[in-house]
Parts: sequence; C-alpha cells; structure tokens
Amino acid sequence: MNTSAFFSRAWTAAVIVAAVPLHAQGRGIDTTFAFNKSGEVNLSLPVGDIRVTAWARDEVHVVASSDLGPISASFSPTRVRLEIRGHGMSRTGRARYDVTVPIGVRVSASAASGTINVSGTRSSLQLTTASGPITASDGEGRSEIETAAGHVTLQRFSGTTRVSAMSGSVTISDVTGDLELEDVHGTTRIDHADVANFRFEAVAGSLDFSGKLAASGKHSVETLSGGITFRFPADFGATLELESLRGVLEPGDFPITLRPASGTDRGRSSDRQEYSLNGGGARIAINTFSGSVALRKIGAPEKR
Amino acid sequence: MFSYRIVTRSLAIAALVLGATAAGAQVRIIRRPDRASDRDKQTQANAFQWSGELGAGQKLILRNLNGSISVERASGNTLEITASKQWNKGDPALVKIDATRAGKDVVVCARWTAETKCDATTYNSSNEEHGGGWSRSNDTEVSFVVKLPAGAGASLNTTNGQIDIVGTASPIEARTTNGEIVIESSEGPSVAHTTNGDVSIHMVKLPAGGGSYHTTNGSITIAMPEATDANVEARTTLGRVQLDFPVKANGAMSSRRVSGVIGRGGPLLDIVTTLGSIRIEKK
Repeated sequence: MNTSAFFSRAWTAAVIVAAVPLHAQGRGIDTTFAFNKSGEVNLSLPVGDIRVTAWARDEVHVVASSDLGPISASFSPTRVRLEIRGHGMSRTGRARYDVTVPIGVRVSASAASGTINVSGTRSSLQLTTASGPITASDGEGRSEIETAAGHVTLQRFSGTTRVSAMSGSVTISDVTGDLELEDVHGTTRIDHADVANFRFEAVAGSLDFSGKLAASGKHSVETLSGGITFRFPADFGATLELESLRGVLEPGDFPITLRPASGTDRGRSSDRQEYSLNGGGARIAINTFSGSVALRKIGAPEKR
Repeated sequence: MFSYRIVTRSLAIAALVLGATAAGAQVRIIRRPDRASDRDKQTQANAFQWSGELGAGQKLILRNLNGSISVERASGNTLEITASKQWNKGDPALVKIDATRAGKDVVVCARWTAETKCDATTYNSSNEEHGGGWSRSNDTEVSFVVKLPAGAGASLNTTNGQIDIVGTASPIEARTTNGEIVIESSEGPSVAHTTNGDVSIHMVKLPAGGGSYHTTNGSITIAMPEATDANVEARTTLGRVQLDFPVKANGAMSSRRVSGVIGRGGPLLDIVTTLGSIRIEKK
C-alpha cells in the first residue's frame, strides 16, 4: 500500500467513524467516503484540471494530485474542499482533481488556468476559470459559469443558468428555464432551447439561438456590433422590439410584419421598431448599435 | 462576475447620441424671406398668359429654370397658364416664355437665353456664359400658376423653386432641384423629386403606375387613406422611416429601410432620402 492510499483510507475511516471534519495536506489523495447528496463540493486550483462526475451512491470519491504544491483538503459528510496552498507553490506543473459525487451535490470549482469538466450531477454549479475551457452537463437549480478567456460548453441545463465569458465561445444545448448570458467578444450558440426568460448581453459577441422562448417570459438581447440569429420553429410566434442605429432585421423565410408606430414613438424620430412574427407572441427586446438580426426557421438550409 | 451592462449601455448611448446628432445635423435650406434684395424685387404680373383645351390623356410639359410652379385644378377642360416675373438685377425681357403644341401635349418653356433648348424631352437653359441667362447679372425669376383640367397629366420641372400642387386628379411628375414639393391631390403624383427640400404628398388614391418620391436633403411625408394597398420601398441614409401602416416585410428591414407590402399590395411607392426622415401617415 502506498502512502497516499494509506492516508486516504485513514481519512475515510475518520470521517465515517467520527463524522467530524477532517483537514489534511498532501500532494496526492485517493479516498472514498460517505457523503450527503445535499452537500457541496468546493474545488480550486491555480493550474490544472478539475473533473467532477456523479454516481448514484451516497459516497464521494476523491482522487487528487499536485506537483504545484501541497493540496489542502477538508472533508466532511456534507462538504468537500480541495485547494492548492499558495505557500511553497511551484512555478511549474499542474494539479488534477478527479471527484465523483452523489447525484444532486452542488459543485463549485475554479481554476486560474485550467480545465473544468462537470457532468451528470443534476445540481447547482458554480464554475469559474480565468483561462481555460469549461464543459458541464446536467446543471439544475441555479448555475453560474464564468470565464475570461475560455470556451464554455454546456448541455442539459435547467433552472436558472447564468454564463459570463470575456472572449471565449459559448455553446449551450438542451437548455430550459431562465438563461442569462454575457459574452463580450465570443460567439454564443444555443441549440434545443426552451427558455422561460432569456437575457443576452455582448459588445462584439454574436448570438445564434435555436429553439423557443416562452410567450409569457421576458427576453432581451443587447449588443453593440455582434450579429444575432434566431432560429425558431416555423409556427413560432413572437413580437420583436428592435432598436438599432445601423443594424437591420433579415426576416429570412419567416412572415414578419412591421407594426405601425404607436405611443411615444409615433411622430418622433426613433430607431425603435416593432415586428410581429406569425402574428406575435413572445416579446423579445433587441437593442443593437450595428449588429443585425436574422430570422431562420429551424432546419432551414443556410442561404448563401 | 463579469458585468458589461454598463460598458455596453454607455457605448450604445454614446453611439446613439452621435448618430442622432448626425441625423439631426442635416443641412437645411434656410429661407431668407426678408432679405433686402427680396423686398426690393420688382414684379411683372401676367408676364405670360396662355390657355387652351387639354383633355384627359393629354399632358402639360412645363420647363422652368428659376422660379416656382403652382398648380391647381381647372373647373373645365381648359388649361390656363399665367406667369409673373420678379427681378432685382438684369433685364427680365431677356427671359422669354412660350407655349407650343407638341402632338396632343402642350409644352411651355421659360427661356433665359436665345440658345435655350426646350421641347417635350429636352431643356437646357444656359446662363451668362452665353450672355445674359439667369446669373448674377440677371436674377429674373419666373413663377408659373397653372390651372390643370381634371384627367390631364403634367410634367413640371424647375431648378430653383418650389412646386405646389393642389386638387389635381391625374398623375403628375414634379421635379425641382432647390425647393420643396407640396402636393395635395386626389391621385398621387407619379414623380416628386427634389434635391434640397422636403416632399409632402397628400393623396386620396395612389397613382396606378406607382410613385417615385425622392429628395437628398429633406424629409418626405406621405399621407394616404387607411385602406391603401401598395408595395413600399422606403430608405433613408441618416434619417428614420416611420409608418402608420403595418407592413409585411419582403426584405431586410430597419429604422432606415422598409421594404414590404401595405394591405394586399399594389402600386410601388419608391421613397428615398439621404438626410431626412420618411413618414407615411394615414389620412
């Protein structure tokens, strides 16, 4: 038995028997212990990879290694915390956490430079990188995903999902509930969406949305120069409130109608126009400076 | 958390303000109604008079260089034309006005020089380089007043002057360079083009062949009945397009460009300005 395995089993035993928090330090961890599915996992590292998967067992399995510096670990039946201590940290190398949690455990993970991959937890996720990709699936409840220079790939999210990206691309598929996105320069692609409330903000980032927006929801898109493409089902009804200085609305093969100016807009110079799609429906406020808006039917071939 | 809302809003607001400033900064022709030179102008009323029959399907072709054209509906089939001259400098007698029959149409020409070419298709009235045309040495203006029979058409052209049309009931072409065009008619004009000036058109029905309404530096306002069927192509470079009618889009749309169908579709209204807004209202 190697040293890390020994310590790992010792920690597990301590948790199970004593049911009290365990604090430890080391450069390698491999342990499994009982864990409450309402618990939370907090993982952080400066450089390296974080991988979290889920299983049906009420246990946590932690495998961690680091050649950056010592791993500071804290384990209890409701909380796991792993981080790399700054003191004595190497300038080279990386750390790796590979954690398996019960389904439903909340996950918080952050990396300054590294990858985060979370799948199958069906729980609230808080994932942050300064530089590095984030890949996650099966988020439920409130999830917040943030990166400065990484790509974000999400799949099967429900509840409230919030994504911020500075320059990386964002790809989301199979999303329901509320969706909020801020993407400064990257491209955002959303597929198979059925969203209750939708908010997208970008400076030069583009948006390609495919799916449905709830008729009763609040939906807004703001961008300076990024292009916006909405792909809706052929019978989808919407009311587009478009305010753009230089952008245009390209209806594609959708029947759209420019509604007469009304209210305070009537008779005054305004960039605000209201369009109905299939007679109206989900109200979408779109505000751009020069970004244009294209409408496409889902599945329609791209026009060249 | 990254929050770019403030940055985005600030930049957008700044851009909108700049845009609005640019849009509002259109060059306007400023009238100077009380210039001493205008007050001191001499006038020769009834400098020209002509009348004759002009039936349905026939057309008046009126060519002017410097001065306004005003048209109203005649009570019968007689076309009546009068013209006055106003001047500060020069000899108004050098400016000749004539009317001739050209086939079934009537061609009226104001000629600033003997070399002026004027017929149903051509108008070239040179100025001082040919000795005595409209120039600083001869600022004669010719203002026409026309009574146009119902059903008769008209092609009206001037360079410096407003065109006003009231109560006509046939397709009219109105072209000027410096001056606004104001038309209130039962049937809308087929052409209303100016470069520096607004275009205002009130019509009961659209011209069957469609209408072309253009200006460069000015706004365009069109009023037409609520039950109008038309196709519309309206675009402006620095203004806005606003309609009281729902428009089914058949192309890219924006606050500066509207392309689509009003009602069930019909004659094409081609409406273009560069520095100005477009407004299409219900009568």
